[in-house]
Amino acid sequence: MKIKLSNNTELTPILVTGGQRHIQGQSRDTLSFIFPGTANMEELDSAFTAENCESIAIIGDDGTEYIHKAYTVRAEITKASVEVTPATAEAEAVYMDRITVSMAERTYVETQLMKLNSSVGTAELDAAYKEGVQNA
Amino acid sequence: MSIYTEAMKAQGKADALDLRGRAAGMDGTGIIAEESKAPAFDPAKDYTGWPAGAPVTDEGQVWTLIQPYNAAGYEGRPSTLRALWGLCHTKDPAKAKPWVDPYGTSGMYMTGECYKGADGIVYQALQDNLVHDAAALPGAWEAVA
Repeated sequence: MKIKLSNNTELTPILVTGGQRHIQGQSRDTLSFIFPGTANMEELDSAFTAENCESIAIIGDDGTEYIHKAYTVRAEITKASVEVTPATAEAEAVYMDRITVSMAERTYVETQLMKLNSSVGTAELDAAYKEGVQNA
Repeated sequence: MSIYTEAMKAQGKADALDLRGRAAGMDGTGIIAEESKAPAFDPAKDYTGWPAGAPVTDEGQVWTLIQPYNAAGYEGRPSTLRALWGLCHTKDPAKAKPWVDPYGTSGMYMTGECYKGADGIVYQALQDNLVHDAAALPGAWEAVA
């Protein structure tokens, strides 16, 4: 399995899980990407920005592709020892380090606010500033 | 007009008035560093209410008002009205402007001040009171960028 972010960064998580979580005061659909503990946490932190997560494609080993839009709210990035093999009568449980990056979906209201903010472009603001300078 | 553009317009006006009020006590380097706050020269504008030293931009240069006057009553622009407008020079190579011939003692290049040649090279003055560029007086200039 691999995932592809909006900026074409490709990453290879061990597992992707989904679920509803309460993040930043809202109940949100959340995708969790689980990487080996040996992965570079700083690189993952840099990769999973809001901008890069506007579109996340999850591509299965058989080529099936699922695209998830607007999972831009960072819920967590943690490195923890997790149980990968449960204990049995014959053996103790096996634990390994895993890095989990969780990204939650932006709400409808947040999307509308973002569109409102971006409707006033930098060029328009620059022009307004210059007009103010000129009319001083 | 959104509140964003209104706010930016108000900020631009406030910044321009602030620079105009401070400019008389600033050197060319300081004024050019803030040239985005200087309005473009307006040949129809009445500059009689402006303080001496107030900056405008024109023809890729920054000029400061020497003698307040009503531009509507005069033909020309700062580059042709040198008794009314002084030329700013900068010591910052990144902000260097194209060469302009000094007008008498006005606009002479002092030590450290720069101009950008037609070849794109920035030259910095090695001595005061320069009235010739690096092509005419190469020993007085150092290529810096």
